[in-house]
Amino acid sequence: MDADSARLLAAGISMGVGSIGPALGLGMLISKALESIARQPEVSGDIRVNMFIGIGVTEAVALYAFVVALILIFVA
Amino acid sequence: MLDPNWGLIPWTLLTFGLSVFVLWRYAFGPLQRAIDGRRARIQESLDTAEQTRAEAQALLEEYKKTLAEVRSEAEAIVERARLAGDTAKAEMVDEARRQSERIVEKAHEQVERDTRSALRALRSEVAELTALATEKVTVRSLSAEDHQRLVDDALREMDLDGLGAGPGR
Amino acid sequence: MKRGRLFVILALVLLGVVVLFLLPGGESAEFDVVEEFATHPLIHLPSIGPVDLSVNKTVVYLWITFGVVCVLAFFINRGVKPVPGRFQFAMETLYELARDSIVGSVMKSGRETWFPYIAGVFFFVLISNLVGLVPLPFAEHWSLGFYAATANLYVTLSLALCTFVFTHYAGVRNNGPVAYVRNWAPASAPPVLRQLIWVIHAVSEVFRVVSLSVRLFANMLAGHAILAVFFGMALLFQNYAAAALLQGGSVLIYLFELFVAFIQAFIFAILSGVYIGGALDQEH
Repeated sequence: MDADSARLLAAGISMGVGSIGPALGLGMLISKALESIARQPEVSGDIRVNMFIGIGVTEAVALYAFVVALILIFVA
Repeated sequence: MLDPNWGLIPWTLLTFGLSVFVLWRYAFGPLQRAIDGRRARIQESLDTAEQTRAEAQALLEEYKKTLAEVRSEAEAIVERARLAGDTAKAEMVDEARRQSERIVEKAHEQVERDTRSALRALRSEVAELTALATEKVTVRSLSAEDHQRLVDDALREMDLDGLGAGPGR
Repeated sequence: MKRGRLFVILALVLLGVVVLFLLPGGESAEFDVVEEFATHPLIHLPSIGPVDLSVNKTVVYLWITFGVVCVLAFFINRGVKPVPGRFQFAMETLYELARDSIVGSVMKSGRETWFPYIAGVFFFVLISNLVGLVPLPFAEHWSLGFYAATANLYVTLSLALCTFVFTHYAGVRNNGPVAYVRNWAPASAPPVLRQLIWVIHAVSEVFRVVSLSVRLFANMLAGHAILAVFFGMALLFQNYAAAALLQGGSVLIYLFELFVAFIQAFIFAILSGVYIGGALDQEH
């Protein structure tokens, strides 16, 4: 395997493996947030704001993988 | 895609700073004023509505009070009228009773008077008949003294007291 | 009768699809996703050291964003009415979102002071993201293309640096420089652990800038790359059926990108609020 194919393979793997964790995390986060909203609809505004903060923070992990893949493809 | 492009940083800071300034200076102020103004107007109209409602409530209370007064007054009038009627009726009944008692009394007196005169007539009739019967039996005329004596005896033997004391007792 | 017509329509659609598959595609074209995001200088300007001030596509998009901001501000400033129209109602909704949901819910003190900055970030990023979803003639050879200023790492990095600078400015002004830096670690912690926590916090301050900038950049870049790939696939496959299918898919992606544009602006502004609020009211 030459260096180029190794880079492309590594980029694909980093994106694919790096998406697993954030996907699970987002699923848990949103399901818990929806449960809380269903249990206490009167504080749904606060829960929704915090849910979006959590989504932003969790999703960033997948985007780091995306950036690593980009670096592997175009820069390294 | 990821090439170094440091020249963008001053451009971004410039346009971003200008945008924030423009938004702050010309957009946020009017929007805040519009929202505040609308809030104030809504508050005002709510207050007005509340005031109108309170006034209407007060008016309603007043009407209710007046109505209650009028009703109690009417009841008092009816009560007074009924009392007056009752009194008049009782008086009339009393009057009628007194009148009927008087009539009955008069009737009693009349009967007594009639009984007494009838007794008197009966007594003289009986005496005459006794004297007549005695003359026939003895076949001679009686002297005045005997006549008188016979009449008195007969009357003494006759018991007419029961008759004289007849009705009303 | 009705069933029969339905069958005829279905058969025609199927025939159309088959014909589309069989038909030879349009002209062959080269397509490279990377070219969509390349920033060639449009107007050459002198560079100061490593800082090349040339005007390129990204700068033009920044100008367009600023222009849209100015137009919005002009219309808001001119026509605020007691009873809002559609435009004013939309602006008021966004404004109240920024005021109540972003600043009002994550900051305890200093709301009045920092509201213009955070709401300004929200509006700027939102408008920039939305401008990126309008096809504008700044692609290769002045053809229509999608690009966004926020799909460039250096733009988002500048915005994140603004938040970084303002965070520490707010913290120092509110708590005093020495107390602010000392409060990075809880005073109740035992000595060695305390220094460790302080170092971790200092590192996290730097990584906040990275995560804030990379999140926005990568979201916008990924969305635009997917859109570009969906549009470009029609050229690559050289087939009308594939082109029709992918155009349908790109509509869905486009709608999702509208949502992402909004959410990312919201998250950028709310995280700026969280960081500045955290520096203002430090836990002791």
